[in-house]
Amino acid sequence: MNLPKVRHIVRREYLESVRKKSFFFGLLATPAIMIAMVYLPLAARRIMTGEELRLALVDRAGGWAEEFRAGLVEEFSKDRGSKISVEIVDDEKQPLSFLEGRLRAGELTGWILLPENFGESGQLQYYSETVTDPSAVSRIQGLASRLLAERKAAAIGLNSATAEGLLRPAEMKTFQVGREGGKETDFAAVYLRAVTLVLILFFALMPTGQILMRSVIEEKANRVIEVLLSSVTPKELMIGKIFGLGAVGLTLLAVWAGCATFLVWRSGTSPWDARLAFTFVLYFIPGYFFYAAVLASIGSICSTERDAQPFLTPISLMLVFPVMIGIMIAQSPDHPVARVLSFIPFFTPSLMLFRHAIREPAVWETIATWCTLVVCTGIMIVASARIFETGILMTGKRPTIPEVLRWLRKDRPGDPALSSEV
Amino acid sequence: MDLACHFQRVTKQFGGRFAVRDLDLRVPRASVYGLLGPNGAGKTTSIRMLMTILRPDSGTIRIFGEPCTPELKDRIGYLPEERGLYRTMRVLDNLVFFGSIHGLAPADAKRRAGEWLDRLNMGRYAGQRLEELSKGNQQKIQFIATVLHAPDLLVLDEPFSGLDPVNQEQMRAIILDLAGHGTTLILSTHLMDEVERLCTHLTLLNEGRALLQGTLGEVRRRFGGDVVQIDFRGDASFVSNLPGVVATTRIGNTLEIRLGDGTDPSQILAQIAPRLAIHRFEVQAASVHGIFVQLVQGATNLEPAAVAVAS
Repeated sequence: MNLPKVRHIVRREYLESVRKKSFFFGLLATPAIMIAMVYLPLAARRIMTGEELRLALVDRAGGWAEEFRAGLVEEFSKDRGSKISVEIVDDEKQPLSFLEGRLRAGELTGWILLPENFGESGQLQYYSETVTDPSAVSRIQGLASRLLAERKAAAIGLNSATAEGLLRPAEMKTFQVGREGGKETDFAAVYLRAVTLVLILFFALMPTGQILMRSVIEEKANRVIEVLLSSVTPKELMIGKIFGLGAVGLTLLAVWAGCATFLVWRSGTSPWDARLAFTFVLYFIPGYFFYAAVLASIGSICSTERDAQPFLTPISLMLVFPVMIGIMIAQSPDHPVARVLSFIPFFTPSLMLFRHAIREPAVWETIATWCTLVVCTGIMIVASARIFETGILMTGKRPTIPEVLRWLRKDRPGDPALSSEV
Repeated sequence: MDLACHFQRVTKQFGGRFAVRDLDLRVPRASVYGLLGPNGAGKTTSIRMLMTILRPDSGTIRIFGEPCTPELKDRIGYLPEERGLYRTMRVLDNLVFFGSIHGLAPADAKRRAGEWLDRLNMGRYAGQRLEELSKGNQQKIQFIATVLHAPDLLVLDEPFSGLDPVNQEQMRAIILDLAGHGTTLILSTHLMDEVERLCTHLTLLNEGRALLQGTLGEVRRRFGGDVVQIDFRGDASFVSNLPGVVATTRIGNTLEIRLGDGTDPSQILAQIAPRLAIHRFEVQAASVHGIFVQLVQGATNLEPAAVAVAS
C-alpha cells in the first residue's frame, strides 16, 4: 500500500465532495429540514401560546361568567409564558356577528359561548381561528368539566374540600431508570431521542456511502478508472475513497454536533448526554466502514446509477430497520429478537444505538456486538476489495450476484472483458 | 539489448477466446515502438497487461528489466484508448491530482502542469472545469496528465484519435521531441502513415499473435518488394503476367504493381513502355499500409514464425 498515493485520493475525494453545492443542500439541509419539520410546529405553538390570549365570554346560561373567568385566568397563568385576558361580553350589546368582526380584526383570539342549558347539558362552544390549538381547547374543556362538577357536587351537599378531593384528576409522571438512577423523563422524549439518533446515523452514513458509490460508478463511466489504475492499485483506490468520504461523514457529524451544542447552549435545556454521544461514535466508525465497503463493491459492479438503484432501497431500509420495529424495541429493548438482530452487522450500528438510547444494554452485549461488527467489517472490506478489483474494470451488463460471489473465491476465472476491443 | 519493456510468451484469454497468444515483445530503450493491428488484434489487452491492469494467464512482462511494481509504474505514462479525467474538476486540479498519484509533489505537479499548458497554448483553460473544454482540448489535457511526471516509458493508445490535423501535427512534434530526449514510446494505432512517420520499431498483431516484428527498415526490406505506380492509357492486363510482378491493383487510371524481391523496376519499365502510353512511372518503398493489408488478409495462410523477421 502506497500511503502517499492513498492520501492524495483521500484528499481529492474529500475536497471534491465538500466543495460541491449538493454537499450543502443534500447533506446539511436534509437534517435541517427534518429538524424544522419536527420543531417548527412546536415552536409555532410556543409563540402562539406566548402571545396574549384574548378571550370573550358570552354567558347565556347566566351565573357562570365570573367563576369561568377566574378559572381561565388561573388555568392559563400556570404556564409562565401564557398571558390571558377574559372579557365578559353582554350578548345584547355585542352580538356574535360583532364578536366575529373583532376576532377578524385581531382584537380577540376567540370567544366562549355558554348556552342557556349549559348547566344541564354541559355543552359549550368555543370559536376561534385556531381551534386546532390543543392546549387551549383541552384546557377550556377541562375547566368547564370541573366547574360543572363542582356545582353538581355542591347541589348534592358535598362540601368544597370533599368535592375537590373527588375531582382531582390523576397525574402521572414517568421516570427512566438508567445506570445512574432515576431521572424524570417521559416515554415520548426517550423514544424520540432514539429515533433521532438513528436518523442522524442514517443521514451521516447513507449519503456519504452513496457519494462513494456514485463516484466509483462515475469513474467507470468516464473511464478515469484506467488512468487511475495506471498508477494505483484497485485496493489503494478503494481504501482512499472510503477514507476520503469517511472524512466527509465526520465533517457532517462535526457540523451537526456544533449546531446541536449551540442550540443546547442557547436554549439552556438538557445538557449533552456524553454516554450516548460516545456510543454514537463507537458504532458510527465501524458502521461507516461496513456500509462503505458494501456500497463501494456495489458501485464497482454497476455501470450506471440506475443499475445500482435496486440495491439502495434495501440497504437504506436495513439501516433504519430499528425505527421500523421501534415501538417493539422501545417496549422491551432486551427482547431476545432485538438481542439476536443486534449481532447482524447490517443492523448492529443502528439497532445498538437505538437500544442504548432507550435503555443501556448489558456491557457484554455492547462489547460483543461491537467486536462482531468490527470483525465483519474487516471481512467485508477484504471481500469488497476483491469484488472491486474485478468489477471496476467491467462495463456493460451488470454481473449477477452468483457471478460476483464466485469472484470471492481464489480460483477466479480470467479477468472480465473491459470493452468491445480486447 | 537494453529493453524498456519485454513480453515473454504472454497469453491472455477471455472466456476461452485468445485475446493475446504467446506474444513476445522486445521494446528497446529510447525507441518509438508501433503496435499495429486491426480491431480486436489484442493491442489494448497487451497494453493493459503491460500496465498491470490485467493479469496475463501465462508468460512474463518485464519493465526496465524488472517485473512491474507499483513503484515502477510511476516511471510509466499511460494514455488509454478510452480517455477519462474528472469532468467536473478544474483542469489544473485534474493535472495536479494525476501528477500527484504518479509520485510528484503537488507543488512540483502544479509547476509542471503550468509549463505544459503554456507549451500547448492551453494556459487560459487552467481554471476551467474539464467538461467546459472542447473534445480536442480535453484530449490535450489528458495527454499532459500522461506526461506530467516525465515518464521514462510512455504508452499511448491511439494518441491521434479525435485530434484535428493541426493538433495531430503538434502531438507528433511533441512525441518526436520526447523520443529525442530518450523517452521510450509505445504507440498503439491503426494509422499506418503515423507508424511510418514516427516509429523506429513495430509489431503487427492479428488475432492475438505477432504477425510481423522488427525495425521499420527491416520490415520494409523483408517485404521490400517495391511498389511501382503507373498512370497510363491502354490495355494493361498483360502486366500481371510479367516475370517479377507479384500482384497488380487497378485504382482508376493508376495501376499499382507489386514487385517480387530483387526485381529491378527499370526492367519492368522497359517491358511495359512499348505497349502502354505511360504518363507517370513512380517507384515507392513498400508502405506499411500495404504490408498491413497484405499480411492481415493473408494471415490465415501464414505461420507467425514465417514472417517474424527480427526480434
